[in-house]
Amino acid sequence: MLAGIVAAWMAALLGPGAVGDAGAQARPTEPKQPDKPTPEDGAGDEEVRTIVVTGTRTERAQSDSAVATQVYDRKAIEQSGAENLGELLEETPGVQITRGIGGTGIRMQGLDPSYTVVLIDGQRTTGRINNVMDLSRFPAEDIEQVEVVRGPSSVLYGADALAGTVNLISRRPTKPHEAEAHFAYGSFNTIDATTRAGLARHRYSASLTAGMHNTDGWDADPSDVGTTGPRSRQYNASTTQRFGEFGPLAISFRGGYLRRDTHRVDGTATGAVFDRTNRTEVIQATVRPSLDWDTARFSLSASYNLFRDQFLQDQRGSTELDQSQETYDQLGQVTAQYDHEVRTHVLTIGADAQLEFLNASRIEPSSVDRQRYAIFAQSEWTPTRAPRLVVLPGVRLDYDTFFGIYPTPRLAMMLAPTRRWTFRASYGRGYRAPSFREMYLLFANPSVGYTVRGNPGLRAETSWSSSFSAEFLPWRWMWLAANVFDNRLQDTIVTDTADASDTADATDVATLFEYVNIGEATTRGAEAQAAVTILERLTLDGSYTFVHTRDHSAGRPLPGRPRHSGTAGFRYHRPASGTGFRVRSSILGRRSFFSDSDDDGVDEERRSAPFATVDIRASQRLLNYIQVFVGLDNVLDAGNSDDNPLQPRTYYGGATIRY
Amino acid sequence: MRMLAPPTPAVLMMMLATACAPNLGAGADADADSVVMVDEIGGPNIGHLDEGDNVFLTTIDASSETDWVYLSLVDGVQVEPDDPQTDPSWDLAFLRFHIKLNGGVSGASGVAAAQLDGVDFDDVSDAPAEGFEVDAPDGDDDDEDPDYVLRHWYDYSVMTHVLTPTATVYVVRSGDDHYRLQLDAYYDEAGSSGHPSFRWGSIAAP
Repeated sequence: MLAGIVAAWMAALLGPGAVGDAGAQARPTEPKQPDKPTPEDGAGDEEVRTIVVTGTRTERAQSDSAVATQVYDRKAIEQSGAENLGELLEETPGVQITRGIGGTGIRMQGLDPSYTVVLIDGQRTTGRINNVMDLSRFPAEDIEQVEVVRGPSSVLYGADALAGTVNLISRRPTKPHEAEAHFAYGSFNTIDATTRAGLARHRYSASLTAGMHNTDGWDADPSDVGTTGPRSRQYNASTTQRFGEFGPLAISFRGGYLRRDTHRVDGTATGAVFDRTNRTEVIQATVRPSLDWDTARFSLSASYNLFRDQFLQDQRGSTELDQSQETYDQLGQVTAQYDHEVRTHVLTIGADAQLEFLNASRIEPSSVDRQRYAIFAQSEWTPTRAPRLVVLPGVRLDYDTFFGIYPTPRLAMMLAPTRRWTFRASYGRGYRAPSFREMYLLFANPSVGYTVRGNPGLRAETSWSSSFSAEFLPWRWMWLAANVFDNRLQDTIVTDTADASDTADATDVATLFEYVNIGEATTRGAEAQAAVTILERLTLDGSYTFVHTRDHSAGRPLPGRPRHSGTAGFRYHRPASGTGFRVRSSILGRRSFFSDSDDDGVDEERRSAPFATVDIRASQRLLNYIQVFVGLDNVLDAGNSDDNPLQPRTYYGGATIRY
Repeated sequence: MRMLAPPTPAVLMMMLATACAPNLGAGADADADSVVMVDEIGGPNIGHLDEGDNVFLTTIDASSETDWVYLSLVDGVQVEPDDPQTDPSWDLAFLRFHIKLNGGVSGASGVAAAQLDGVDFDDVSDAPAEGFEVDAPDGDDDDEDPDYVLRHWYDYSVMTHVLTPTATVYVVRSGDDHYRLQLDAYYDEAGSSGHPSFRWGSIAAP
């Protein structure tokens, strides 16, 4: 089947003889430098501005956007050596990567992965497991740019954009013809093989990307039968197509398919050993017609996501606890947006409809659906450009078929009194919709004797958040930034022991857990970042984050969050010879966990040791087309099987050939 | 400028067609149910291991969440009473971690048990003269189950949800017969719950 797609695509590529005009793209095409100093920012060079879209739903220069946006452009993605989104975000200031049953998640501003929404070109994705969107599922070869916005963006994207928003901008071809092959091999039989071809004409551009990613997995504790990192193999393919310049009309399409098999071994306290296998498939397709006029723009995005997961649990030595489960999660979304510029105002209005269907064997009833309809409006007012002042009020109204209407307003402001200083402030509301799992889960675990029951009466979790940030560019070679944030969450969903009397099958020692809206939590913190460029080739950057969290219902900090964390990086790049070297590191301070380890009915606090991850990578360009690289991830071999399942020290090497 | 034929619908169709990866299958490799070494089979759900000295290690498959497994101690066989409340053929019955006696609220045959703490199973050679109780209606506790005499045989870990047998020795009295009994495990070899095993044997009357 894949061969068929390749053949069809190759025919399209080779068919036309003429080389058309390249770069007929609405989006900026060259990899862009952020407004931070980088080695490539030569003194007299014309400034290439990074364009971001996530914070306002409109394309803005990163430095002009009223909403602070962190950007990984294509060059940064390639230099990082990351093969997927999870690896890319690992050493991001103020971000904590979590690893667990749901895969690789992201914790922002001290809040769990369930509070961050992951978008592809602004449209929602689906398929959370354990409320975690697995970031390792998104292959790096598909991504042109990653935009990270901290704090609530429910005003633009609706549910779940409470702690942050991660928006993946699809890679689009930039040259008349382009082709790329990438291969990397490393410890644990890690294989990353990707290929890509693209073409760009005056009115048509297209790309096709395919990848294979393999790992044999790893085990942090060989003394027991269980494994820590699953064995996994993923195949993915995607295409982008764009037809443009028909008067104001352009139509773009993105489609992708992914299949991943993972396998792990779990030993349990009862002595049972399980082989657990997941086969996950994801289909994602978006069609986006848009009309561009001088001062107005209309776009319509229709997207479809299918997440299918087959899960097989095979008990060793018995069939008694074998399980087979299948989950189909489908999400359709249609978004219409109109932007209109009137003198100093840019008005954005839009409407959004989402339909979600879930079929799963662990929920009761086994098939549920819900719809959500929303309207949103935003006005970006720029009364003066020098000094630059932007005032950005917005509001979104969501109607959910389960819990009714949720309004999410936000006010964001930016002031740049001089070119050196930028201040931003925002205050807004976020909300997170209860997941189907939280509403309908019926999960009895007789082998260990507990039952978890969903609660269809759950309300949405809501938050009020504020943030303030300042950026300072004292010289061209130095960039400094700091921000403070405060999130107050209400009606948070927690599991609580429920009365078991009305559960007929509570025949075991049956602790019955139920989801309830009784929680209340606060996270607040401060962050400082700095980047310095020396002799235009060498960049040093570092950050420090302090986060204070409080779970008010439990009267203690939220578990697993480090109070102190930091990142440090070092990057050397010599354009003339194509030599690059970089070190990335992140340091996480002591984290607290709570569990009743001595069975006295009171949770004890357990503290895990601070740790640091360090990644090193060196690359060299050969013959203009070839980039060879070697790297070492987790140099210090941090991690353990208990509370920090990090992949052990990993060596890798490979090459990227690009035409 | 020539226009290319839009490949989009074709590509989309092909992608949707590939969307169905092979099913993983309903069951993985078909393991046999765990093999329990037994010297004697007491019924579909009961196996005995003869430890000598008139002591047996008996394993019950009590994994059903609805059907009790009834045991007659005098001949060590599984019985299927039509009406357990009146049928005198059984002494002990098992459902998951619950153990009931044919007496009190559980039956009409007056089977009773005495709980002996701080004694060694091997040292119990004579039944005590007193301390026998029958299953009672649910008292003032957390659960909604009858207060079975044999309800203190395990420790429950809130952390792991694992049941671990305590050292408690019970003496069961059925008519004129007396038996010593001590729970040994709640999980089978493969780690499945609902498979209690216990060591037992007849002892002299007081």
